[in-house]
Amino acid sequence: MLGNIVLGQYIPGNSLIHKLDPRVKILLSIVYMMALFFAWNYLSIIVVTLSVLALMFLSKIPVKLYIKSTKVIILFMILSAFLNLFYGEGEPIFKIGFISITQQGIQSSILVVLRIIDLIFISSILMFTTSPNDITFAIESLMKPLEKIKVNVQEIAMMMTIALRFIPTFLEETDKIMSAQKSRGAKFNDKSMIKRIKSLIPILMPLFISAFRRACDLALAMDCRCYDSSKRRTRMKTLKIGRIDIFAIIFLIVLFVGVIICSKMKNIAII
Amino acid sequence: MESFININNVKFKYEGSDTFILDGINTEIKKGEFTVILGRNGCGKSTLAKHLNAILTSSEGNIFIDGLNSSEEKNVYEIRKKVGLILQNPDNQIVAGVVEEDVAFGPENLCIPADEIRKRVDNALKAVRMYEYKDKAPYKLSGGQKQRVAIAGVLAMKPECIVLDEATSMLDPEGREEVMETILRLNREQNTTIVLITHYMDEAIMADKVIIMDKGKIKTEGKPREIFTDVSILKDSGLALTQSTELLYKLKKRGYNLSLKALNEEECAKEIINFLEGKECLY
Repeated sequence: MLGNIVLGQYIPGNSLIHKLDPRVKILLSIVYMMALFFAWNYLSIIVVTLSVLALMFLSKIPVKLYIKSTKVIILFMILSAFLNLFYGEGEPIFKIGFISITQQGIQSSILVVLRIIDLIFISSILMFTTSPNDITFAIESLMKPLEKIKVNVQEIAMMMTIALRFIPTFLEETDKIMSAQKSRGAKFNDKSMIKRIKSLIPILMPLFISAFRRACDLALAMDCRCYDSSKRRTRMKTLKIGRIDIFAIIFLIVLFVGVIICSKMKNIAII
Repeated sequence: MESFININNVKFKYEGSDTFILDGINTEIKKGEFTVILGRNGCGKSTLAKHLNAILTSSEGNIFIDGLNSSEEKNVYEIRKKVGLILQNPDNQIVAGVVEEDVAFGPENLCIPADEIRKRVDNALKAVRMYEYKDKAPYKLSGGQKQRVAIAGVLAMKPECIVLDEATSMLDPEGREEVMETILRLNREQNTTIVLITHYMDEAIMADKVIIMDKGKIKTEGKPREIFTDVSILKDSGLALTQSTELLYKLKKRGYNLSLKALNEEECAKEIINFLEGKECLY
């Protein structure tokens, strides 16, 4: 049941995308999301989608894993496609009672689905190719200006590192607890919603208790290794903007401008 | 050998509690020595471990680590640099999501420059034979491997002493062997002082010194061959005998004149063969 969650999982590799500076990757992901926001017609969304596919190819990570990562929100995708279908204006091409489907409705639901998929793929590229520590390191570095207003950026980054580090541990633990409860006769597939929610309690309680226990242990282990949140730490990995990073930035600027131009162009009729 | 840790009449109780968990501990650990502390659950051995790197400080008495008094706040940082502590659960002491970044955590806290950290991390991973796993995620490793990463994490801080608090108790036999082999090698090759806290007798055989604790006190200490002969003290402290001692002990009780000083299977077998051939005791 929990086996198919791949969100937030770093897959070590040596591809071009892996080698990008994590700060650049995060900024580029944000730019990509903005570009998606502007992609209001087929042409622009196709440009974005093709470039996303190209990046996925460059990341050298099995497509299977990307597809897996969309499974988590497939319901949300169907729902938004479904709702968008009925909210179009213009001539209805299809009408039953008060429900009418317009060309615009079809277009916007296709766009919405593509957009969500692109969004997931972009964040997956970021998550698959960047180690959680790199991500927090990048965020730490991007947030550095906040230190001027007395925000302990280093501490926030540490919390994020630990949270990310323990996700697989807790997933594994949840699996174990579920098997343990199942072996004692617990049912997790009851038809009644309320019963199903109630059946989560015997999973969540042990999980919480164990989380606190782990937190105590971890705090002790960190103390043993001289961690002091108020002190500035050095880092083994230092970030440097290299040549590929500059290429990536140029590529993104071109893409972003391209998307905006495309979105201003007249729509190509597909349907 | 030079003395490294000096424990002088240390007593410890938690605030608001009346019972002393440590009740007057006196001992000395020498530089480069491999010491094993044995005792049943609740005898205070883990509490003692936490005193060795100033996680806990004594209620009475003093501990000196390489001459530094652990009760003084200003020494804490220095002591933790000298003494690394490995805990029981391998999962709960790994901080980062990649092996090498976890090993770098300690040196990063010590504010060591980046290229020096790189060197230390590589050396530490090589020392525990985990170098080829440096890019792996910790949760994909076995228990023994995780514990070796934890040891590397401590090694990268260049400690003079490593304290392992039941570090093998959650591992399978294979993992236990990996960890034991690693710490023995560190002790022999790099002259690292090792304090191993355990309730497995088998791990104590290789030690230079064995300390047996019971009810917050040191019951006895000495060389493994001296300690393990004293069956009554072991049984009294709630410890299981090693299989070879158990066998010799039972044979002796039946009236066979055997020495109990054989420590492992091989020595035990030799002792019995010798006896059957009518020769003198070996050990």
